[in-house]
Formats: sequence, structure tokens, C-alpha cells
Amino acid sequence: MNIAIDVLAILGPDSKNRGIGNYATSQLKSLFEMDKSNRYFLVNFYEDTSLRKLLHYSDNVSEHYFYLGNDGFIGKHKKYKGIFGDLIRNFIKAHNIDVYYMTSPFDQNISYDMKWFSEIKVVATLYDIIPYIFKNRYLRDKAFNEEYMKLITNLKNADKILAISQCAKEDMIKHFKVDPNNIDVIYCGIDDCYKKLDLSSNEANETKDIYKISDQYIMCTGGDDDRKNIADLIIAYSKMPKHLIGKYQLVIVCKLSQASEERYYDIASKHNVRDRVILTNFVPQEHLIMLYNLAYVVAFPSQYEGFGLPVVESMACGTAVLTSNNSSLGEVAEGAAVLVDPFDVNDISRGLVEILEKSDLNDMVEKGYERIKMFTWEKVAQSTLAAMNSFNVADRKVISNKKKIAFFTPLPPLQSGISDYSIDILNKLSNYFSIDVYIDKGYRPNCILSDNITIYEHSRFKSKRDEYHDVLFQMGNSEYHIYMIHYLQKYSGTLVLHDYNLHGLLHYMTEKQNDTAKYRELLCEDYDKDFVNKYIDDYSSGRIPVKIFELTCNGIVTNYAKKIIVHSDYAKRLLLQKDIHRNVKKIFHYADIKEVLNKKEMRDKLNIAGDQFVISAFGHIHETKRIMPILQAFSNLSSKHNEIKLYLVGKPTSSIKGQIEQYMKQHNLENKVIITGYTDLNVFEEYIDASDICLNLRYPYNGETSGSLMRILSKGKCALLNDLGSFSEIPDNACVKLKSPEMLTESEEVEMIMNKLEELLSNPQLISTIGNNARKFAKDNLDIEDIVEQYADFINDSFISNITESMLQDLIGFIKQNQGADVEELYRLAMTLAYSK
Amino acid sequence: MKFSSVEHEVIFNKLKDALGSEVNNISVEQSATPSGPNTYLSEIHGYIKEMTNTRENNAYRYLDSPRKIIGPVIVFSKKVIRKLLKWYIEPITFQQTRFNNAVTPAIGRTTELITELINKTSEIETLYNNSAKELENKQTQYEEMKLQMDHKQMQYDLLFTKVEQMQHLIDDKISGLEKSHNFYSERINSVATKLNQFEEIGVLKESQFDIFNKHTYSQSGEDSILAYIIHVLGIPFESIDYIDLGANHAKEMSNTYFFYSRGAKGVLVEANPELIPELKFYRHGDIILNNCVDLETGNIVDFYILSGDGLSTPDYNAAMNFCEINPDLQIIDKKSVKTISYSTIVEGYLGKAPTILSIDIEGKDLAILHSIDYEKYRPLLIVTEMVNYDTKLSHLTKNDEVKKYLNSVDYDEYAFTGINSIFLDRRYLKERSETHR
Repeated sequence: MNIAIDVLAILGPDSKNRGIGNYATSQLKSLFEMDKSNRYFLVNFYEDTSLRKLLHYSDNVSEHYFYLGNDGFIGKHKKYKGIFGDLIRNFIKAHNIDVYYMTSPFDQNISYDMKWFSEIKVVATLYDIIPYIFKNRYLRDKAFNEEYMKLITNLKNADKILAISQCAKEDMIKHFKVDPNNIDVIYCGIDDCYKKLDLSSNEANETKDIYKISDQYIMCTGGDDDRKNIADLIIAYSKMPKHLIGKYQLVIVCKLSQASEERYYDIASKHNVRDRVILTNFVPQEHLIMLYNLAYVVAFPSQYEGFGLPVVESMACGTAVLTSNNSSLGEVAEGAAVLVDPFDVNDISRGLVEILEKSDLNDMVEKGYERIKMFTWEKVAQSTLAAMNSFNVADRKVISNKKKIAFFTPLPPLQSGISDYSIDILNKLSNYFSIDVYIDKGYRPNCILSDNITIYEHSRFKSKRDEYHDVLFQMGNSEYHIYMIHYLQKYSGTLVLHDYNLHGLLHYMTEKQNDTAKYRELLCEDYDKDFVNKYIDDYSSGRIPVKIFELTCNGIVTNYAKKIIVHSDYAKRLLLQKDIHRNVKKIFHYADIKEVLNKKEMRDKLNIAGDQFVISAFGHIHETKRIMPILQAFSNLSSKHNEIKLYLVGKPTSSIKGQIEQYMKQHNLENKVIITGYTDLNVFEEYIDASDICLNLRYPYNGETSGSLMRILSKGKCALLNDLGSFSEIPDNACVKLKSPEMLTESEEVEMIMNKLEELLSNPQLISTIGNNARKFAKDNLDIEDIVEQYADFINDSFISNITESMLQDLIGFIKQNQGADVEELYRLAMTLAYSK
Repeated sequence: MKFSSVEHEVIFNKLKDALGSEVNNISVEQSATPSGPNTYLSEIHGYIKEMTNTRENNAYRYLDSPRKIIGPVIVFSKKVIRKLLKWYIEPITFQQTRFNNAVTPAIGRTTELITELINKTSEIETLYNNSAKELENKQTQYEEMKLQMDHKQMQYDLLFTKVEQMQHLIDDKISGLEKSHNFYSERINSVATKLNQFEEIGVLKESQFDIFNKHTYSQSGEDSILAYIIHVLGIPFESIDYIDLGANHAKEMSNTYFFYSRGAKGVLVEANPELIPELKFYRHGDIILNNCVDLETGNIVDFYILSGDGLSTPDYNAAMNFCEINPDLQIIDKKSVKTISYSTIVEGYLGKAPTILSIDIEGKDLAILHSIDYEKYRPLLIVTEMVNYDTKLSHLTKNDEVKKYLNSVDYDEYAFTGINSIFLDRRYLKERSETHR
């Protein structure tokens, strides 16, 4: 079971180092010591610190800090509740959380909405509902009251409430009609440091001297709150017989404001016991323990407590106790203390006289020792764990019926990399969905697809669109994709954007008919009107060439998609820069991780001599793949190295074919350079297997990801790339990166390619190391099974982030208005927002 | 900066860009030039790129023809023509390439220079703007200061007038005081004359002075003991002189007032200036010195005034010590006072050794006793403090060092009152008994 624990109690500014904080610390420490099998995720919105030292946890516990802005405004402000909710939702999803544990449900530093936890269980600790019971005293402020009641409602809706006393439980049942079965009493523990000390008379006197205590004394501890009843205790004390006042001083040990101190002393003066009452104000814990030890008795007649730690602490220190007969106090002290009615001064006085004069203190102390055996942190942890384990979370996730999706894509025999890509993705994705594929008119696909995949011509979509949970569009920068644009614009869906820049396609779509108006319209999806008008003017009057690479376009599809899948961070970054609200997921282009085939066998099959050094380039052969520089570099190199051969695996485009042939003829390369023409995927892969070095150069760049490159990497081959766009994201040790040709002359580029090839030729070890790294990278990241799981997850996820451009504007306004921010702070805030996105 | 995700990076940049200069610690790079030249520059860069990529002009381009059948013929004839024109085309393309190779980097460099110039210009512009602003600020500051100066001058003039007015007032007051002083002096003189007359006719004469029925002013009856000795020695009171070091009050706790009241005269030394008027009033027959008794004369020392009577001292530690012993005490003032030595007092004011030397100068008593030249200026009687200051009876803390020392210079302790001791000159007694013998 995966349990998230909000550490608000431990680190929240209102409870840190105080009762609730100390409780949660001791409780969790014991829990983590006891339970090594559940996984715990400590969620921390408060302080960038580690709790490992404090809680002594093992590897089944991890910590997760999120910066919620200065003063934690994201966790508190209504405006940003959406962002905070997304953050929680994403956290629950990322870590597969089954149970969310709120350690301080009444703390207003964090505002939860129980809806966020609808699919998991919520557990919360209940310390008390004192503010509600004494609402005239604590809930007079209307806003505070409202906020408190909201938190009560949240608590009521928790799946399990862990009350620290029977009394707290009963209060909750009585006032809010909570099902008793939903509340477990886990009690409280006493820290080991509270114990009977063996104090020498010297030590005793020294401690007493510090606080100017001269006689035996009655000790009271509590806090600066009328509920603790200190005033009445002083009065009750003054009403005791003179000889008892003369014999026992009254020592009040707790932090008090100056006003309270003056008030209590005034009361003491008024009742003629000013010289017998001592207010120590704050004392360090070790002194507190000594004072407990040295006290003749402890009196704690508080009006109401959720638990009443002073009672058990006194008992642990071997000192007899007087306390109240109500709330948890009577329950905790049962049978081992003198009980009084805290609202009756005379009764408190009666109790004091009884405990000082008549009671058998030794007997009470013994009973106290017996009593506190009930209250150990181990028992608290056991009860906490039992509550967690009572949830049956294993069968929570039910596998729903297969949903149906539509899938727009070109298929073979259309000669597009995306055709091949889609076949593999479709066949794997059919394990998650039943799929209807919509293709363009005018061809019959020749491919083998799973049984639950049906292929339709696209015009059928209109009548069937209601059947689909989602519609996927495989979009690339070629004419094979034109047919789907209209559907995406009309019906929306999930776009898989293979090429970031579709300007080539736009130009193609409008150039033939010389349809400038249409071209203008399409460009306006990405650029503002004035800019487009100027460009079209300049272009049509011949002042500038068409700027296919300079003016990137994809708005015709990205502006209409609900969700977008891209293959690179490069593309994702650009899309989010345009609009942060876009739901963009990067899913690597898959590679089929097959066994690496024997190179020699492949060469035999392809008629390549075993001793040759094979350099290859793959895919459509055109200018953007740097074929001419490659040829020149190869030509130079082959004059020195006889054994090398260059394979161009693919079909040359008409524009470059003649040029290549002429160059080969001129430089006598006919025997050394082999152009295979278009091959099917199997042969294509055989050539990769047979190669020593694979070239995958690219410039200019359309923001695409190369399927061939993924295949090359997965086959553990050493690849040469240009260091640009998505290619830059391949780890440096898994390929060889060459500078982008953008700022190079052709001869510089040729020289660069040649030098790199020569270096590799002379270092076979390097080639194999790079190849191995490439294979490892592919195994870890490109496995089609993982990729398709990510696809399915993304398709099923209906999450819409609250982070929008206008929300960012709002946040910026808020920051400007409030405290401003430094870079460090913005960085941390952005990290939290990114997580919530 | 390393980012945890693309979202992190994008959101951070958006926040940072939007907050711009408001982000603390971020110095936002101002674009060096306004948008116009910048746009042109980026255009120029585009062209330079194009020039760089195409600067090599090849004479032998690929020749092709899309026509299937006669294509090869066309290509062949084109090649023939090219071959024939080689002598003409080649130099042109070579020259073109050379020219391109020269002009491309030249333009590149020029652009670099221009960019630099633009940057410099804008830097200078910024500098100029800053300087101008600074100058403006300085100007404003200058004007403000001028205004302030004028204001100050006015205030000064005003003050000056006031001071002058006050000077007049003070002068008037002083002359008034002088007048009333003269009047009072006259009155006192006439009263004194009257008193003398009374005395002469014996109206005020005490019914015979009785050595055993007299008033005592000292702390513990020291003056009575002194009076008894002097009486026994048969020295007339009006013939004795005294030096009272640390005189304190004129009457209360004074070891010498009794003798003053019986016609004796002497020198009173008191460091606390607050006490001087009182001394002068009641002891106008004595010489009153506002000095701090010390080993040397003429130094300026700090003198700490304590809230308790007779405890003020130049010794800071002693003062603090008193305060520690008696929490009601505190140092209330510090005065600069000139020091005076015993010999200066004797030589400068009394002219001979005193009959009685009374020393009560907290902390320095012993040192002063040591400093006395007992051969030259030998007092007959010395009264000095023997115990440490305390709020309780402290007779058990008696310090025998003084006694030992005075014994060594031939003085005998005649009496110890619990606070002070009275020492009597042994040599005098000896001489006296010898003369009487």
C-alpha cells in the first residue's frame, strides 16, 4: 500500500515544536520503525528540509517537497485552489497513492478539497474539537468559524478518523453524527524522557532555587489559555486552610504572556497568596521534568482537553495528580488521580485539600505507573497501522471494458515513415482499445493489423464519431496527412505531431493552385495578420524567398487539438511556449528492441563483403539529409581508405538524383557508393544491421524526430547526427554529434564529416562503445511496450490543468502586488506549477 | 540553470520574462538597439548566411533535362557548349568565387563592426542619459542645499539675536543679585554687630561651658573624645587649628564643627562641589577648598558623586564597591576636580601643622597618611577611618594597617569608636611630660 502523509503537523508554522507537532513526530517515528512494508510518501509543502534525522525512517519512506510560494499562498488562496488540487492529483497519480493521511486537519495553512481524494482513502488525526465545544470563546470570528466548519466537514468525510482519546471520538459522534465505526481511538504516548529521576538533594535545591521555590509545592502546567483554568486554581488554592498554604507553594509552570502573568499575580494578591504563588513562565524541557519530579503533587484542573498530556507526564514522573472529572482528563486519569469539577472553585479546593492531606500518595503513584502503561507510542503506531491496513485497497482499480478510439493515419503502401510507425503502434495499442483506423481515399493499405482494428475510408467517420472515447491524428509534414486536418479542426482529439514545422505542407497545399489567400489564412493560425500580410507581399512580389524553415507553422492542427503527443522536449517546449495551457506529452518515438542480428549473416544476405567498412545513410535521399556533403567527404576519405563503402538506403528525390549520379561518375565512386532505392522495412533494417556507421544528418530542420534514428540506436549502431532540435536530446555518449551546418560553408561541413569519419575509422573500440550506449538508451527509453502504455495512459487521462496563460498572468500580478520574487523563488515556484501542470 | 521538466523551464521563463526588471537580482539585458535596426540586423545576418553558403561559385554545374528521349542529346550539347566556352566561363566563375570569398567576410566583418558600433552608441547613450540624470540630481541637490543653507543662516541670525537678548537678561539678573547680595551682607553685618553686642553684654553666654555637657556632631562622638584630650592637655579651643580632609557637611558628621563653634579655625577640603555652598555658609570662618585630596597637587581627576552621604570618591572601584554593598546607593554624577596634597594645604593655607587632622576620603586615607612629612608638619591628633564601608555595624573589620603605620611614626591609638580611630602624638606627650617634669 502506498500512503501519502501530509507533514503539516510536524512542519506547519502553527504546530511545529508544539503539542500536535510533537505528537505527529513521535507517532510517525514509531510507525516507521514498526512498518517496513507499506510505502510512505511524506508530502511537505512547508519547509525545504529533510525529516530523515527526525523520524529515523528506512527506504520505504520518501520525502517530497513542494514550494507553494511565499507564505504558502498556493495552498491557502481560493484562487489557486485549482493549481493546488492538480498538484495533489498528479502526486496521487505519480506515486499510485492509496491512502492520504492528514496529520493536522484543523490547520488553516492548507486547504484541501475532499473531491481530490475521491478515488483513494483519506485518514486524519482528530486531536479535539474544543473550538467547536467552546465556540463562544474560540469561534466568535465569523470568517474563522466558517473556515473551521469547512474543515470539520472535510474531517467528517474522511474514510477513517484517528482520535487521540475516547472523549474526542464521542464528541465527534455526538456533535456531527459520524459513524462510530469510522473513528479509531489511537491514544497518545508518553516520551521516554518523562520518568522518575534520581535527584540528589543538591540538584533538587539548585533547580528549586532557579525558580525561587523554597517549600514543598503543588505544580500546575498548561498554557496561556483560560481553558487551562489557572485563575480558578489560584483561587481554590487560596481557599485551602492556612497551614496548607503555609506548607505548600503553588508553582505554575508554563509560558505566559506578560498580561497573563500580571493578571494571575493580581488574582493571587487579591486572595492574599501572592507570596505563595510562583509563575515560572517558560522552562526548558529538562527543568519541566525535574519540576514534575520534585512536585509534591500536580494539579491540572483544566476545563477541557483532547487528551491531557500533563496528567500522564506527572504519572510517569511518579507524582500524584489532581485533575478534572470531565473530557478526556477523567478518562485518561481514571482510578489513579483525585478528580474535581473544574467549573467549581470550591470543589477544586476540596480536591487540593484531599490530595494534600488525606490521600495515600504512594498508592496513587503506583496506580499512575499502572495507568500509563496504556499510553505508549508503540501502541499509537500499532493502532495507526491497523487503521491503514483496514482498507482493502488491492481491488480498487478495476479494469474497465475496452474503450473504442478512432485513429487517423496513412498506411503502407504510402511511402511515409509514419505509415510504418502507425502499424506497430496500432497493433500494440489494440491491447488497450478497440480501434477504427481512418485513411485517405484512393489506396488499399497492405499491412497486417490485429483483429480488433478496422480500417475505414475517412468519409465514414462522420456517422461513427459518437462511438469513440478519443480520436488520434498522426500528423506529419507530407501530403498524405492533408485529409485529416479538416477532421481534427472540426472534431478535435489527440494530435500526434511528428513534425513540429508543417510549413512545407501548407505551402504545398496552396502553391499548386497559387492560392495566396488560403496560404495567408493558414499562416494566420500561427502569426498575426500584419506580419503575415507583409510576408505574403514580400514573397509574392519576389523580394524574399518562401520561408518554409524560418516561419514554423503548426497552428492548423495544434490550435484545435485537445491533447498533443510529440516525440521530443524540443517540440514540447516550443508548443508550451506558445500556450502553457496546452496538454502536451512527450512520448519517445518507439523502437522495436529486437535481438541484435549477426552482422556477417546480414552482409552475406545483402552481398556485402565481410571485410568492408560500411557507412550508410537511411530514408528518403534529399538535400536536407546532407547527401552532397556526405558524398564529398566520402570521396575524399575513400582515396585514403580502400575498404570503405557508402550505402544510401532509400530513394533519391528527383531534384537530387542526377546531381548525385554525376558526382559519383566524376569521382569514380560508382563501385564505392551504392544507392539501394526504396526498400521495405525489413530490408531497411537489414542494412542497418549490416552497417558499421550510420549517418543521420539533418539540415534544415523541421522539428521532426527520425524513426530511422530510433531504429539505428535500438540496433546498437554508432550514429552521426547534427546537434540540433530533438537530435540534441540523444545522450552524448550514445551517438556522435556534429555541429549544425547552419553557419558552416559546404567545404567546412565536408571537412567536419570527413574528419569525424576518419577518427571513427581509426578507433573501432569507440564505435562499439557508442553503439552499446545507444542500445542501452533505446532499451531504457524506446521500448514499444512502454511507449504504447504511455499512449494509453494519455488517451485515458481526462485531466485538464488549471495552469493557463491567464492564470500565470494572475500569479504574476499577485507576486508583483505582494512581495516580489527573486530568481531562486521563481525557480522553485515554477517547479511546483510544473508539477501541477 | 537545470530544470526538472520542460514545463518547469517554460513556466520559469514566462514568469521571469513577465516580471522583468521586477525580479529581484535579475539584471534584465536591455536590447542594445531599438527594434528597427535590430530587425534589419537580423535580416543582414540572414543574407550573410546565404552569402556564406553560396560563396563558392562552381563553373561545372550539374546539367540535366527532364525530357526522356532527347534529354541526353540536350545535356550533351550543353556540355559541348560549356567545354567550348571554358576559356571564357572559368575565369569568370573563379573571379566571382574570389570576389565572393573576399566580399562575404568583409561584409561579415563590417556587420560585426556595425553591431559593435550600435552597441557602443547605445552604451554611450545610456551613459549620457545616466550622466544627464546624475547632473540633474546634483543640480537639485545643490539647490536643496542652498535652500537649507539660507534657512540655517536665518536660524543662526535668530539665535544670535536671542543670545544677545539673554545676555542682557543675565546681566540684569547679575546686577540684581549683586545688589541683593550687598543688601544681605549689610544685614548680616548689622546682625553680627548686634550679636557681638549681645555677647559683650553676656545675654547669649552659655551658662558656663562644661566639657562634660556638650553637643557632639561627629559620626560616633569623635569630637567629644578629641575635646576631652584637648581639655586634659589644657589647650584652649580657640587656639587650635584643624585640617578636615573630606569635610562633607558643615555640621552633621563633622569632626571639626564642635571646635569651630568654640572659636577654632582651619582648612576644610571637600571634592564634591555640591557641598561647597553649605560649607561656605556655615563655616565662613574656615578656609574652604573644593579639591580632591591626593598625593600631588594640580592634577585633574574624575570624582564620582554617590547618592549616599560622605561616600563620594575619586576611586571608581571604591564607588562601585559601595553600590554593591548598599543597593540603595548609586553613582549619580561624575565631576572633574583638581587635586591637592597635604603639604600644599599646610604650606599654602594653614602655614603650620594642624592640631587636628581629620581624614575621611574614601579609599585614599592610608596613602595620604603615608604622604605626610611627620617631621615637618606633624599634627597633634589624627582622626581617620578604620573600617570598611557597610550598612551594618562593621567594627570587626577594623584595619590595623593604619594603626601599625601611625605607631611607626610615633602615634598612639587613643581610641577606636567603632568606625574611626583617634591617634595622639606620642612625642608631644613625651615632650610635655618632660617639660612638666
